[in-house]
Amino acid sequence: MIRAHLIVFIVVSVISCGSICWAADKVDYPARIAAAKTATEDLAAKVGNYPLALSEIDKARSSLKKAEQSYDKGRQWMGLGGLKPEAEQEVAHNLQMVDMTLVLATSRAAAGRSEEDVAAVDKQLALVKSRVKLLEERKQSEDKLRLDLQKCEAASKELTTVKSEQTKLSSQLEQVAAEKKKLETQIAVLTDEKAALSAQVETLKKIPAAAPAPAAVPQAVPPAAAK
Amino acid sequence: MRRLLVGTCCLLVFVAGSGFADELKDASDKLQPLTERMTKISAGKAADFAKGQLATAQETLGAAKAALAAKNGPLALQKTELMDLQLTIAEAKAAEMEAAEQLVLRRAELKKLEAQFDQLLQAGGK
Repeated sequence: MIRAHLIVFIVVSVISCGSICWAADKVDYPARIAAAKTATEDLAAKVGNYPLALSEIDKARSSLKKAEQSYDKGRQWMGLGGLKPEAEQEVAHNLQMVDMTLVLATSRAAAGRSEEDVAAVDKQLALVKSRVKLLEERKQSEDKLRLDLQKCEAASKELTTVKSEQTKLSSQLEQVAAEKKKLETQIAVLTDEKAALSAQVETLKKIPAAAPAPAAVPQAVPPAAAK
Repeated sequence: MRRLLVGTCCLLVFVAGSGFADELKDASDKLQPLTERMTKISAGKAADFAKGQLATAQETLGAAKAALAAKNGPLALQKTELMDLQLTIAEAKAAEMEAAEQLVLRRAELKKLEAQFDQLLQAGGK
């Protein structure tokens, strides 16, 4: 009886060890499927609202479903004998497709983010460009105004010089006018004196030669002595 | 009864054989456009941006050809499907890198313009 138990125990141990070793060699597909599912849902949660990326996530889910179906269909001996080789190939392929589709989804999301950022930077660029243009225009008009101001200052200086010149000329003109008036007065006096002298000369011419001439001599003084 | 059994077996073998033949034909048909697509992608920017993906796709192409040579229709189809996805990834990576490059260029342009703006502002204040 004890020997029989021992034999059964040995046989069971050998079978258990064999199946454990066999199981260790085999890929744990349920765990891989679960990991792929977690990875897919994690990525779906953080991929953002990019249609192309979301479409790839749907494709990954579809491949995952195919892997699950292939696994369920391919199990032998009520799940105790592992997977049929063709089912294993299909499960492995679909899991690989899931992994690669997730890579694609990540890439699509990154591209989408970059495109969004490019659009935002483009808007900012347009804004800064318009501001720069405005400032350049203002700078140009400021430069023009500065140039005009310089011209005005030069003109103002010139005007001041001309005004002082004019004042000077006016005073000179007044002096000349006063001089002229004085000279005209002298001319008038001299003209009167000339007329008086002419009248005296005429009168003396009419008097006979016997009359004494020396009386007219003191009146024949030159005009310069009359000043 | 025996004839019926033999006939059924023959029919099953025929159906299975024709199924494999269909898959082989499908895989064979897909291989040519995929090869052309890979050549086209390799000639573009993806050659620089997605070198790794293109090399993997090249390996998958070799595996698909080997599966076709071994008359393994399902494996050949899987490999063509995988290659299709790898090429799409290569294109997507190229597009991603190009978008990133554009972003870097635009940011540099923006920085330059902002510097110009600041300079103009400072010049205007004087």
